[in-house]
Amino acid sequence: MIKLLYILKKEFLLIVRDVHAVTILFVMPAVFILIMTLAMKDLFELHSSVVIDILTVNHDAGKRPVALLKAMEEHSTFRFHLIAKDTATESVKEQMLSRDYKFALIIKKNFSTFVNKKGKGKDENPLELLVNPTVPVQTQLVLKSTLDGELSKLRWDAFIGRIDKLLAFAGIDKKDLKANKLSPIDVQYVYKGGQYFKMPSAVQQSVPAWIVFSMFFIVIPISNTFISERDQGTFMRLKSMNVSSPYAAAPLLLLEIR
Amino acid sequence: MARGNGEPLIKIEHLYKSYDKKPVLKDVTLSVQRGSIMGLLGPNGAGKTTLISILTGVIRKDSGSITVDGMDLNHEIGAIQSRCSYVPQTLAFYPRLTARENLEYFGALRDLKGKKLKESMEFCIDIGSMQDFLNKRVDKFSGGMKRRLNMAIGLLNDPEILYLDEPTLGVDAQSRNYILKTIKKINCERKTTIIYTSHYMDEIEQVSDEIAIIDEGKIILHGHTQDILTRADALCGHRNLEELFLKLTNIRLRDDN
Repeated sequence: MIKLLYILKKEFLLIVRDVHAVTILFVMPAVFILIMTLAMKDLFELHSSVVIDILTVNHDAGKRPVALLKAMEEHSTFRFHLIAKDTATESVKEQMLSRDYKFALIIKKNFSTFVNKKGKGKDENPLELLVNPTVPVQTQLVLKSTLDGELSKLRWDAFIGRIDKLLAFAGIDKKDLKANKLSPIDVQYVYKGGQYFKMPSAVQQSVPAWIVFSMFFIVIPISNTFISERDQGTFMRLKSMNVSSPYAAAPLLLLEIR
Repeated sequence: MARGNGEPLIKIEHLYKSYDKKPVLKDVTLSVQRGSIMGLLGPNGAGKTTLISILTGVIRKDSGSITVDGMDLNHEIGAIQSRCSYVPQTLAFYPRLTARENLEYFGALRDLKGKKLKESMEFCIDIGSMQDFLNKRVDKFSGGMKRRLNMAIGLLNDPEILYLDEPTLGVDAQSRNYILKTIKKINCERKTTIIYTSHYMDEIEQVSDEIAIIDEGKIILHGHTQDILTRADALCGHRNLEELFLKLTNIRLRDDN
């Protein structure tokens, strides 16, 4: 046991007195943590809060587009950044790429007409969504579904407005039929064993990895010690000393392997 | 001058060793008297370090027999190693530790602890004259100080047999003189048998009771120092070990071996 303590003391002193080893030991894992955190930041941010920025052009002068954007922003997930209404589609695409937007929404001139539409004729789609191909499909679907949902609500409310006289005649309060702004879906989280836990951040997620990784940086200086022990003839001395302790014999075993 | 009592402590008979089928030691037969200092001389690559490495159990022999105080090296290597000490020609310690930490570490590996470790360390500190730089990191030492520490570590277990492989390599005259005096002192006071290799003929003449010259893996001359000097006088015209050595081993350079 005393032998082991002296061996550990020796290894500890050799590492702490080696400036380069200590630098590697502490700086490299710190660099590793930083790199991994930055690399995984986007992935782990999805577990806490998500904001999707959307470059927006509104070619329709009516009130309906404003109502759509307002309803969308009430979800607190979407932020619309309006640019000049006469911006051409090609210019929107350029701005989207140069300003690093993942999405651009073009509200066409016929948007209000589409919402208030009475006839059955096939018209041009009132919305055009431009998508950066690097965006995950799930995110695309989230935005598209929400737009579909809000557009349907607008159309329903418009329909109710058109038949308000009929509803009044039938004794129905049109307020009861208006689309509900709040989602009718309750979300509940289910935790294993009933115990609440918070999703880890990018830093926390990397902890096991950088503990394993830091082991390499402990092994590197110890390996350097072994190599210098061999070069300085210390192993020769140890081999001639009848060192019986398995702890002291471990470096000798490594010498044999090398 | 002769301090050995006539009884051979180490007996080497028909020793062979080769590396990658290249013979390094060829039929070496040699005996070392108890309590004597034997100077082992030889050109570079002659087999001196290999012979010492086999004697200390660092490497294995191919064939032949070696007994130390009647114990067979093959079967009782542990017991032999605990009674011996090997001081390599390289500075075999940890430069980033202090002299004290080095002594403590190697002492602990020799199973010394407590009062015994302290006493051994005090003896080694005294013999290496290291009192003033005991707590200084070894990488700050001069060449002479490092050599003294290298030898002091070898004395921690109070060995009966001390193998010194070029202990004065690269030191100044003062340190060399100190080391040689120390070797004689250990031999006189502790009756330690010392096997000593060096390229310095004057050193060997000065400290050795007997001399063995090894060349190309064979012992070509072995005898008492005075007898060998007498032979040098007869062969070369004066009592000069270096001239005898060159006459016996040839002047050809050996670094290309």
